[in-house]
Amino acid sequence: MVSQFFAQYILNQGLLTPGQVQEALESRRAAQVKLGILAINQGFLTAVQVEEIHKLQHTIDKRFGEIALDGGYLSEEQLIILLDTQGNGYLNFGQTLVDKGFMTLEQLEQTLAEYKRDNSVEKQPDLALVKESIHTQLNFLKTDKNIELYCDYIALFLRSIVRFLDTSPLLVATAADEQQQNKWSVSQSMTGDITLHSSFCADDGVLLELARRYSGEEFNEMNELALDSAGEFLNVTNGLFCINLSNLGLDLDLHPQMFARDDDFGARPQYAVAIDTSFGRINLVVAGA
Amino acid sequence: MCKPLKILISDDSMLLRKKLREELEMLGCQVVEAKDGQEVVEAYAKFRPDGVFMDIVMPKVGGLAALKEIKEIDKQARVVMLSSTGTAAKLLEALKLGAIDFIQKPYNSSQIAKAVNDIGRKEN
Repeated sequence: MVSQFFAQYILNQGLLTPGQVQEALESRRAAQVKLGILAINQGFLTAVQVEEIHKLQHTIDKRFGEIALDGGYLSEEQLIILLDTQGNGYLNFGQTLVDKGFMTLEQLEQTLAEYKRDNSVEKQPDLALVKESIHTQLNFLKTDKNIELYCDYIALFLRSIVRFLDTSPLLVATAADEQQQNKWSVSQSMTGDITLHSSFCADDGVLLELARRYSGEEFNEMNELALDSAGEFLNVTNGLFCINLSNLGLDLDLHPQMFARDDDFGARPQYAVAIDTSFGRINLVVAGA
Repeated sequence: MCKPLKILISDDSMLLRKKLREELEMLGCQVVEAKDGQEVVEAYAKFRPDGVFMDIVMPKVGGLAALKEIKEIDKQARVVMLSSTGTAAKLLEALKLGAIDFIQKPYNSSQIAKAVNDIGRKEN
């Protein structure tokens, strides 16, 4: 995931186009050996244990290494060995940028120095970097008391794209109201100690690919099963969000998902972000009570 | 040869019903489907299945309310609740109402197989 934050930084700074960053990310993603494979190779885990951890990642909002530690699958020492073997995420991503000719070594050197200076990358937790980026993209109203909640939600949505759709999401700047024409939108409300409505829309081709990746089913056209698969992706993401809030003492109920063509999301106060993936753009909207 | 278990599944998601049906049929079960809390109560009264897999978040009548109604029809009903929100509060509520298990979505095959095994124990 660390290369993801460096990629987002490069995009936010306008150093490369979204297309270049996405191409490099996908290339990096394809080349990077996953922690589970490394653990099997080292003899730290069996294939069955790796599969167990992968399944747990679908129901617990934590990374592979965190779950492996919590569950006693790996010791801290073993995890350190694996992370060292896997290499530094953002440096590997930087190497990909140079290999693809998107940056010279000198440009990379300067960008890395600025990235470390701006983000205190050695000290700051990953999540803080993501939330900072979300803040920058959204121009939140200073008076909105739910700012942190929205940021947490969007950060989780991004992690869900990695976890369930196997692609690297990038937040891109866009006009908040450009999105909904001629598109299906999928929405779901969460109510209880707080209220949050979340919704996403995308072109039909993007939504079909999202549905295919989530469900493992093949779709030739937009139909009930494809829409439903997109809805389940949102439902499972929101379920993880409810669990995260439950751990903070907040109780929320999920409501059934809604599907609409050209939804204008009513007059609710809302925030919109555009997320680029390897298969196209997803527009995400979050709104309060 | 044992009689196949008759399982009622209830979820408003077409995808989840399709996947769950495939899993259960591979385990040799006979499957009946319902799309919401109202349908599942009616289907339970009509078919008297050996067990039920039921989503918590459903339109018309929610899963927990449907569980209560099914338990009024049949105190011995063996119901497994499914939900994407596996919070402690929801788990406790489902168990208090008489669910035999609670599976968080997205589930995996071994969880379903275990639950079917638990449902089957009633038969033996």
